[in-house]
Amino acid sequence: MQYNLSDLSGIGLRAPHVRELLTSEVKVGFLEAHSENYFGGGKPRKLLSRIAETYPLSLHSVGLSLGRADGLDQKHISQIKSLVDEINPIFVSEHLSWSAYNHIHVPDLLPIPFINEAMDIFVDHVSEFQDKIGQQILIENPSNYLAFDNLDYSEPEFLNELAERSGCGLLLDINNIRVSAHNLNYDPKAYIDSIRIDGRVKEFHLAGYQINKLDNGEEIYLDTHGKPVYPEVWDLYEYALNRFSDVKTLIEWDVDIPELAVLVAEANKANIIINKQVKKESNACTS
Amino acid sequence: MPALRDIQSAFIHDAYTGEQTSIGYLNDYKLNSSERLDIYYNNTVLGLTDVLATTYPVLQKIVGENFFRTLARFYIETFSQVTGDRHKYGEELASFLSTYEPAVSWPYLPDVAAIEWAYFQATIADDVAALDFNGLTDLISEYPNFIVSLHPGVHYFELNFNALEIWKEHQKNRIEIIELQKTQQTVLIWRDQSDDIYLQNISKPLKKLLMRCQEGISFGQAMFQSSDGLENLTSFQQEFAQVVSSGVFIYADGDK
Repeated sequence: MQYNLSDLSGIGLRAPHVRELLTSEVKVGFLEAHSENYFGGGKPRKLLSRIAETYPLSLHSVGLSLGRADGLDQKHISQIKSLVDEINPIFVSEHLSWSAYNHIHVPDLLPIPFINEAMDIFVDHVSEFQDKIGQQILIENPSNYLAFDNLDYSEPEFLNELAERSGCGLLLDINNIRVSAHNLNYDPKAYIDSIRIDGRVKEFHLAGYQINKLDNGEEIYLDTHGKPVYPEVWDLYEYALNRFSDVKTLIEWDVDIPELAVLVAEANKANIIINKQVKKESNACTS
Repeated sequence: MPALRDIQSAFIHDAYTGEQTSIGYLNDYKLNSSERLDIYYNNTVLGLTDVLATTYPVLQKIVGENFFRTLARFYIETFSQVTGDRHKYGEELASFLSTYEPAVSWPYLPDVAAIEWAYFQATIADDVAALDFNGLTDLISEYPNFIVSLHPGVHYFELNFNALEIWKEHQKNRIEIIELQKTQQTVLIWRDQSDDIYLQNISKPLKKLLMRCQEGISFGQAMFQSSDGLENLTSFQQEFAQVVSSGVFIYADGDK
């Protein structure tokens, strides 16, 4: 089966869809697996290998904790490297966050205070990770619910400098930009405008969020990946496509996972927007 | 700005306890940081509860979802996640249950939890080539002092109740009532070379053989110590042949 990756968007690989993906020819550009779900061996790992024989695959990690102040977990890195060697992924990505300190981990992406010390640690850890797995990684902006005081960088400034100093690429999660912009009161388009156009943005993520009310009546957006992509996020995606070219798009859906066809339909919506953008660009070139 | 280590130490403490020791580091001018910090605490509790629910489905079926969620919350307060691999979280639940006061009316729960932990770990254990019967026979004939070890997917342990029977019953759609029996059993759980998981009670001599192999003595010595003086040698040989053909042993080391 041959796919033209540049034409089609991808979807997150989720356990309920594996059988259908292996038994029918699903038209998606690529699949993205959470690395930690495939540590070790047995059936899950063998199924992932079979998936990788059929579809282009990227590896997305959630537990390495690149921003931790006390050094990376070498066993975790070697487990990802083992997957990278076996799967030969199109991308390897992690988050601009941390989730562990002093042998205590959380199953969450915790916010980074954008200070010089955090920058130095992040640059060192991203460089170390890239060296050990032997390929460039992409760093994704997380969803934020709060902000630290006395910072040296904004988040886009931090991402730009991190990419410059470590040589990593960027994964812009458009849903996370929308969620963080609402929660922290900034303009999501200004955020996108602040990310440099230098070919480092390689992948977009799209997903659905949940709106909750705090006790004080304030609305907060939670990055739950349990709903279709919101219209505001599609608009922002179109805006980002205007700024960055040659970027792959992925639909994420992690809770209340629907049938595979629903994810593919969401990916097809992204394909339509990409095609519209391609036509607009080619018209601009010929006029 | 304080050192990153101080911020992370405070923040991760808050993520587990729901306390707010990190609030002084946050921008509280326009944002209500207190309620927002709670989001991270809730994510920790919900995330780890989901991990436990994935590993312990029978336990949750027996006690019900509400009881399970309360149990999980107390467990999470006591045991934090120690690696970024979530599949390794929850190992101490069996021992935790044995001292968890609200579960005293289910004395067999620690046994069920031990089975579920071993079952889950067997499914994701590293892939290692196991010795088949012919391979073992060849080694025995040629190299008397070789050492075998157990496949990473192999687990064996003592049960105090007929919990294996209870666990197996809960794999069915319609569960029959089972009479609880206090009985000392050794259960062996392993993954074969086709990645299927097996669970069965084993004899004391076979348990002794597995222990001796794990201690690193030669296979010949381990066999001798486990089978010497056995009244029913044939039964032991049959049980041994079955576990060998199921891929329980791997070649370890030694004087081949």
